[in-house]
Amino acid sequence: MSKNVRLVHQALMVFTILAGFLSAGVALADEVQLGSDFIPLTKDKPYIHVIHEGRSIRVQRVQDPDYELKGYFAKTARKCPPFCIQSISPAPGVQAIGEVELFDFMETDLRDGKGLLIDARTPAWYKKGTIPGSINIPFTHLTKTADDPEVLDAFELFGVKEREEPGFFEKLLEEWGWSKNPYLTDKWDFTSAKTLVLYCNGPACGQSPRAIRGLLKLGYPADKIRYYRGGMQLWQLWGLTTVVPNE
Amino acid sequence: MEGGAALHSWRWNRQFLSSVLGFLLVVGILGYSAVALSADDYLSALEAEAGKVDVELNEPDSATNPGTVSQSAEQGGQALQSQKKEGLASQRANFESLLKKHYFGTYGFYRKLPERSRQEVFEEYRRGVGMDKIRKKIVSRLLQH
Repeated sequence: MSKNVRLVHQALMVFTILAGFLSAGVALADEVQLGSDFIPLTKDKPYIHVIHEGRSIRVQRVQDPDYELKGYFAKTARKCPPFCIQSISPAPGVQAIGEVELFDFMETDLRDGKGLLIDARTPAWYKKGTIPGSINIPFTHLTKTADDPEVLDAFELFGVKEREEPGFFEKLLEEWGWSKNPYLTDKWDFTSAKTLVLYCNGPACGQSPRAIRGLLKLGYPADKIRYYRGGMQLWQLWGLTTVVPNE
Repeated sequence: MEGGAALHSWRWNRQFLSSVLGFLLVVGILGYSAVALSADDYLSALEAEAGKVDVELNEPDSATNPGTVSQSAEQGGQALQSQKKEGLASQRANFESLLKKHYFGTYGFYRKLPERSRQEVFEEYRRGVGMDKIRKKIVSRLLQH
């Protein structure tokens, strides 16, 4: 009996060791497949996956070391106005972000449905290619008045709720400044509103700054808005994956 | 006499007020159209610029995002058909080199397929089908062949 137990014990040990070797082999195979010359997104992030139009897209850098950006986004000069170099932040309180922060956003807020990546360009631009995970809400939709159907649709998508009439005491406390929820305006409740990252063609593009200023005018909290100033130009300069949206 | 002067003054004031109102109205209309025009001008300039960007379907050498997924290289370039054809050819070459590099066995099977099936597999790759499915398709086409 004890011999059998010992045998089973030994078999289990052998199995465990084999499983260990096997998993190490699988991990190694994955590493080998990436290769030592693989150019990652960041030091500790080879690539990321984002969902675009229901499909998982791998976002990575172009692996060709001789790759050079060509075409429209390689141009350094554009007529100014209207295509003038934009300030780092389009409005006070709005945080400007770079690619690394955008990768993090894609892996956290965007994946969890707590954030939206918005390509604020007009559809003519969007259909030529966009950043995976983006939705297209042209800046022209976000620079309208609060009762405009396009604004209402966008706000619904952003998780903004129309505010219910506050009670007598609530109103009183707010008037006295004792109860100030920064996410409440007279018309809107931004408490559950999503974090938005807006971008357009790049540092010389005014479309997303206009959209951001429009959102702020509508009362959207500045701390729930991010501005990816690099836009399509810098995204492509780093050789990052773009997608051509479906019609 | 006083009544006449008052009437004259009232008429003058009325004329003055209507002139001022007329002037303000004209300035308002002009100002509004200037703003509207500048917004329109901006949109027109945007549309004109958008026309300068073209979509190419080149894939980078190590592309793992198939189908409608394109990388930055695809954004540049001109809209000439011949270049697009070249782009497709190079994309297919890239797809084949990707197979050869990462899935050598599958690449061997792919080579044995007739051109029609190879083209079919490549089209699937361009449509965004995952590599697992692409590899299964190659094997299935080989078995059918």
